[in-house]
Amino acid sequence: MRETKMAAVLVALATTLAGSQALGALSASVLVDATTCRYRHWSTAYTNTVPLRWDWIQDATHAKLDIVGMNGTFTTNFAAGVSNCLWHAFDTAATSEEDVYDLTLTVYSDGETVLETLTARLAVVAGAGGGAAVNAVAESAAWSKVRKNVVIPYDAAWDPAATNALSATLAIEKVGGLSQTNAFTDAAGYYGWKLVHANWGYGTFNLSLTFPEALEPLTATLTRPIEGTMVRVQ
Amino acid sequence: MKTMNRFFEMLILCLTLGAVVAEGSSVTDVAIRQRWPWSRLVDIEYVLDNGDPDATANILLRAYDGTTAHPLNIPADSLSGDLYQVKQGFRRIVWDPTKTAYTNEPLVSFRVDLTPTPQPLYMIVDLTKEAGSSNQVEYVYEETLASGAYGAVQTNPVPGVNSVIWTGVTNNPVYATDKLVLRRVQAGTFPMGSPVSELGRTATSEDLHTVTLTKDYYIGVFEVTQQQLNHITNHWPSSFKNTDYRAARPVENIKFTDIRGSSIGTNWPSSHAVDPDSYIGKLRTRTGFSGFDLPTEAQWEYACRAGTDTALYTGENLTNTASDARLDAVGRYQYNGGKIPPSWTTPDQYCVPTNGTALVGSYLPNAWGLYDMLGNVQESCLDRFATSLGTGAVTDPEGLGTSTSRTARGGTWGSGAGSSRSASRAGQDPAVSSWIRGFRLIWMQP
Repeated sequence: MRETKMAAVLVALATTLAGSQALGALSASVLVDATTCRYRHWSTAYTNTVPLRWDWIQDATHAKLDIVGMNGTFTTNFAAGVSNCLWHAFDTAATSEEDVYDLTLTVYSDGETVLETLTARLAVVAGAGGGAAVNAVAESAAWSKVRKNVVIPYDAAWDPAATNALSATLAIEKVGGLSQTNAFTDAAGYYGWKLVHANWGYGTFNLSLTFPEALEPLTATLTRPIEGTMVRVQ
Repeated sequence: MKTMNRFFEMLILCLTLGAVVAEGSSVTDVAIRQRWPWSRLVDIEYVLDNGDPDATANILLRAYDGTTAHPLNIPADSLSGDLYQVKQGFRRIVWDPTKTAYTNEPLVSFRVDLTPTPQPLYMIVDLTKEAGSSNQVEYVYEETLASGAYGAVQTNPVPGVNSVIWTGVTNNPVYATDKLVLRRVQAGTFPMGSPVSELGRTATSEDLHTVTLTKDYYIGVFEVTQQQLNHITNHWPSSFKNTDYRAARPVENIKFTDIRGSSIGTNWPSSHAVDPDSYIGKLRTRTGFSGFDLPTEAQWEYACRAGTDTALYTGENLTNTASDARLDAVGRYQYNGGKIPPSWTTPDQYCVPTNGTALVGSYLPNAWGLYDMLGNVQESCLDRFATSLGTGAVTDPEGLGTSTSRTARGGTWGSGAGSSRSASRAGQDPAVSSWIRGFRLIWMQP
């Protein structure tokens, strides 16, 4: 089973479009990201329309595109011949609702045999729309509170000692409860932490982010308070 | 009326903020994200396309909370990362909001506008304003100068040196009192020291050798004046203190340790840190530019020579080491007004600028538009003084000295012509002040 980053498919699309000019003409310049793990750029959606493109391999008859986010999932089926789709990642020009989506395109043969799987991870972050909330208040209670699904960034470039890191690990531990370790195969990106309708519940969470060769892990303590008003009756 | 005032304020703001866009450069895909929950730092990521892999651009950042009607004050030292001489690609600026005034209330909709600009030829820092406040820093581009927007401009003032200089800077006293004007000096290679044949040469301390400076820097167009010092320290330490003229006279009677401090400020080159209560320490805090410092001796001489290899930055050599007509038009020295009648002991409090120190900018600039590099006051440099600098080629030298003595350059109002040459060198006790010694600032891009 061959796995390919859908990011590469996007590059192919851009290159194809840029190259569709008269024979002998110089194409328009296109920025090509050949780095493997250094930038969050590849995993960020900058507009609400994300062009997806793929090529059909031999014997493929149909395909299924699954887009799985914290706040919803979508599945679309394609017959052979359709090789692109425009995904509206969010409704308006900018969004305040952040999410991280796993995109999976599964290509099948006539006998429902899986021939190929393409995967990508794409984050919708509010700041890619041009504006973001910034909280520099030292004793801000809002800073450490989480109420719904959240997007957590990770990036080895934050730590000069981790310059050569190619991976990252995010550990989440609920005080007196669940714990989870997420091993990322890249060193920069976004993780969608699904809190709503998950098993995490309410309470205090200790987070730890580690990069190979980093001197110290990054840590944070977050609290998810119980929703609603507490009434005490004597 | 209030509305009209607001309109004009915004108009002035827009005109001032209007930056020249670097030709062929563009910024796209700007994404802002605070490093929540890990830290308060904010990553501002963008894609820069310069149209040429080797081309560079500066990035001018303007920030708002919501619309452009609510600009934010962003001190320069709250920003780091890809701001200056940036090559194309995916780039990142890091903003530390805790170094701003916005630590009481969250910014609900922080936005930025990133504009690629060419390297400014001049930068003007208003010393009367706080770091990051509107119009605190003004960048002047070569094409803006050429349009005449800033007054007189001169091209190629020194034969054989191709340059554009802003001579109009001397027409408005504010540039010598309330504002600091600095000129960009491009990295390069030059002959430091003097040839054996140079009249007035001190053979033991002016070994001719090749020096390469690998980084651009900005250097003060004028020596730091008494008013410019007073804005930062609220102090008038100079000997030439006639209150009618002191503002635009160069500051003197100031020790190296007053300028950088007597504690951590003496640690250079192992550290660029200065004492917080020193002049430069306070200047860095006031302006938000942590790259302010004294020049190294090599940076000073490179800027003084401005492409020349002669005794004077006019492209001429001396014919007399005492009084020389060629120096008369270049800088204040003993024989064109420097001598203080009737004695040399102390200047009369009524001493006018026709004697002693001159108002900065009174003489011809060099080919890069720098005034008073020769004469007026001797200028303190960072390096510990070493008699010989050797004859071998060096890159970004930091001096060979090991004693506490520091280097001072450029001759004085009381010197003969022989001491006011581009290659003249002197040592100084950093803890001793003198009425012949002042300084000039540089700013290094982070």
